[in-house]
Amino acid sequence: MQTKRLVNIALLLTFAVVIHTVESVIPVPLPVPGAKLGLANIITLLALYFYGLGSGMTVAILRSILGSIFAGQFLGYGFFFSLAGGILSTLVMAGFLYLEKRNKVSLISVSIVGAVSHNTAQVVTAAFLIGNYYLISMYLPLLLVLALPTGFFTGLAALYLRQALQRVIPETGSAGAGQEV
Amino acid sequence: MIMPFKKIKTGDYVVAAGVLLLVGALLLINRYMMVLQPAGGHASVEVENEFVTDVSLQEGAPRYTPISLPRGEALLEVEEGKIRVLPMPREICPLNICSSVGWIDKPGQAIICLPNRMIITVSGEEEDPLDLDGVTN
Repeated sequence: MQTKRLVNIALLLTFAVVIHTVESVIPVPLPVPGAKLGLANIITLLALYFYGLGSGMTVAILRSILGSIFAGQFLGYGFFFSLAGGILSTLVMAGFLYLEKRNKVSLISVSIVGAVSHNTAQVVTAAFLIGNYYLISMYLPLLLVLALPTGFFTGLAALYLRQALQRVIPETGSAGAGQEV
Repeated sequence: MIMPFKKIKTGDYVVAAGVLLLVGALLLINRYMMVLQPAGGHASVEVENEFVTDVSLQEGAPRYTPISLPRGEALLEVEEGKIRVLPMPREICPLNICSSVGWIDKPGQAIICLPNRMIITVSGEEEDPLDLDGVTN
């Protein structure tokens, strides 16, 4: 049923934007700019899981745009960092979800590689915009080390949320399931 | 109810190890680039936002250069290609953070003495501040 699918994706997007906005207000107890929990990634991850790459990408991109509008930073530096991070991490997570469906890795890994690729895209974009390429080799390792615990916990959260959502969104796991429902 | 640690699969450890490897590789690259950079040729000294002097790190080293500060005097020690601030009495520099930085030798590295507002920056051979036509503030 197309309508239900559309409504569910729209709801996921809403959750993502709200989490993104609330998260941007929570102070991070670390003196590392760019580091955050990445909770909104849970929603991108689940949109990818339930509705495939196209919908996951839609949620990720629209979340960056809407989130930055609500934060008042639309078209600022932060917006481009977040957009680049969102696009790359969605692509990488889609690849790892393929492994997850074959039981090679758990959702935690998918979340970790999502966080890692988000940070990588962020720092590389920042290095290009600012023109300081030392940023990549000096700052990225720090963010990547932090991405392990944050990716682990958001992955755990995604595991719980997926279990809950499986009761609401039927026919999960198999590719293209959304269409036939 | 999900038992979190039962959900972890072998592939997850591979992913975590991969991330740590990536971090290690980046740190190695970083280290390598630091080594590749040539040692600095000059160090410029600023006190209270005013350019004071430009110390050559090559000629006549080792030697000592006194810098007069609002509250006293700092002594800079220059050796072949590197420079440091010697410890100062507590009345001039209470915490001696600047002298505990130790030697600096790469272009872009700096020693900053906050209580005396003194900044020592190493610059490369090619950019000699004395080549400038003039400095306006």
